[in-house]
Amino acid sequence: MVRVAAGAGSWGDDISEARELLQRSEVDYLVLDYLAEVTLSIMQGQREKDPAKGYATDFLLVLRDIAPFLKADGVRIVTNAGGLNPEECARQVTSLLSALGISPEVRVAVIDGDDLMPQLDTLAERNAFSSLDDQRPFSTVAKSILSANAYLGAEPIRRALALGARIVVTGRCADVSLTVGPLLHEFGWSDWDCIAGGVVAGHLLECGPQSTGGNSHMWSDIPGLDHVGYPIAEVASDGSFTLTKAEGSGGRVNGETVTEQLLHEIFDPAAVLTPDATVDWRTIRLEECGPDRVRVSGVKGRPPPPTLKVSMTYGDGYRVILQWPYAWPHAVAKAQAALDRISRTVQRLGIAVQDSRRDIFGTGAIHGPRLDHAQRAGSADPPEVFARYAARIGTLAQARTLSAQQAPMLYGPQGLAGHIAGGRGQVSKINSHWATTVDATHVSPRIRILPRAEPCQSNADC
Amino acid sequence: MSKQRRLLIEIAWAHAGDKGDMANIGVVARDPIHYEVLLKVLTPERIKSHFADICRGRVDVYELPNLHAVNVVLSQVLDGGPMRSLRLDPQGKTLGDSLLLLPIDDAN
Repeated sequence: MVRVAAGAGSWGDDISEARELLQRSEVDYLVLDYLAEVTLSIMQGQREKDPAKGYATDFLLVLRDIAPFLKADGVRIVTNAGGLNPEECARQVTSLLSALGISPEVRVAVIDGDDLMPQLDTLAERNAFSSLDDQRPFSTVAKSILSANAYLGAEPIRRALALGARIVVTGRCADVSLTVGPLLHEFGWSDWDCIAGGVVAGHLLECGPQSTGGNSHMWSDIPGLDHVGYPIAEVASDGSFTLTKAEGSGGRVNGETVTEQLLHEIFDPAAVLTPDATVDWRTIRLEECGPDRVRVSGVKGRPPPPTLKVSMTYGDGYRVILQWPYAWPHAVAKAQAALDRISRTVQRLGIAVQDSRRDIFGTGAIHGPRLDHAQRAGSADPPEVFARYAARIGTLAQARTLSAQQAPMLYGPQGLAGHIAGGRGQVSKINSHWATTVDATHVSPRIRILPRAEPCQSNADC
Repeated sequence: MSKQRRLLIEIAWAHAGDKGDMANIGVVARDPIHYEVLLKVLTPERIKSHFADICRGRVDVYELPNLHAVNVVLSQVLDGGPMRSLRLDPQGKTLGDSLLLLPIDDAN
């Protein structure tokens, strides 16, 4: 049996979760997934500002936090923290390990080759790229492409582990492959059903506590929602596994929480496509087999498709968001007037807006016309609300600690709108005002006329 | 006294996810006995008309009897995708709840 645990489910997760998990439970492999689809676009923005960026810097904070566990015979770590810049990420990892005095036997491997930019033109010709969203041909975006990455599979990770790596840093690979790689290394699978079981385990780990009660429809019944335990898969050699969570942690693992994550971001359940196997989700059998333990078995798989998914980013202009809160009386009328005013201002200034929308938060701005059904059904809930937490804090370090807690709310109650990976709360330095009085005679006004520069004799002097 | 309308939320819960400009909504029967109703209510036509204002692409519906679930896949529904969307919920995290507002009386 091999125990694979999730230490991060998205960029912006609380960095202390990996340590909490390792302190509570025995784990063979810790997998940290930082890449949602939107993450590479965000990283591209960071790399544009600084070519040494473009990876999940949070991973370095996690490593520092779990330093005592980084030993030659300790937990092995597999992460896609490399993002768009795996080499720089891995370089930072090795210097951190040296700075922390970690044994050189803790070997670091980096996997890249997912970056298709160097040969993109040739690939575009040979593959007739079109958009998975709307089949638009590649020519419509070709000139604006900023990054292009293929989703690699588990095989390179298996090879890195076989070479003795304790920490594997990848760029873009399929999220599930972070889990399948170690399992291929441990079990040497070639059977598609076994690999398919590994894919399902990977799917239940890749979003962290979304399989253990975070971001669940049952949010009001989940115990310890303020600190949900991260998931652990205890995988058997036949690919079946038991999903559980860190001992003594919050959250819940049962048929419903596992089902919830199983349905996360899948399309045709008869053929869930990954680079490691094509998996039939309809064959998954769930069985609650103890407190916070669900056994997953019966998974059927077949070979993966001959193509890999490619994620690209392209320059697409700018987005501006302006917000003005209004309160009673006539709050909605005032908001309406504000939106009319800005629309006229946009026209007056000749700003070429390609697309815009006007929303008045609190009047059905999210569910839109569907909300009428709720009102007709007698619901007294307001259409939407904004929860706002503001605090004054003495030190920048603690202010940043708090600001990093914006993203982990994803694992709080379900239905958090506007969540974007890695988002942080706003921190601003306070320079407060302090007023008093002074005797007027103690203050002497001084008036000086400053000398002016001589006028230029010729253009060359100026 | 008119009878209050019943909504999908009474018999199902839902979970939404995003990929590019597509979203999927896993809809799960709260009680397995409601699974048949789910299958009857959740037709692509009904769902498309429920999301008529935001879904510009096709709607596909897949059955997962092992989980008493239906997977609804909406195309071209996220205003071009989370990175360019102007909406308050760019990743469509609330689309599951939005689908649960579907009236179910007509299908019974």
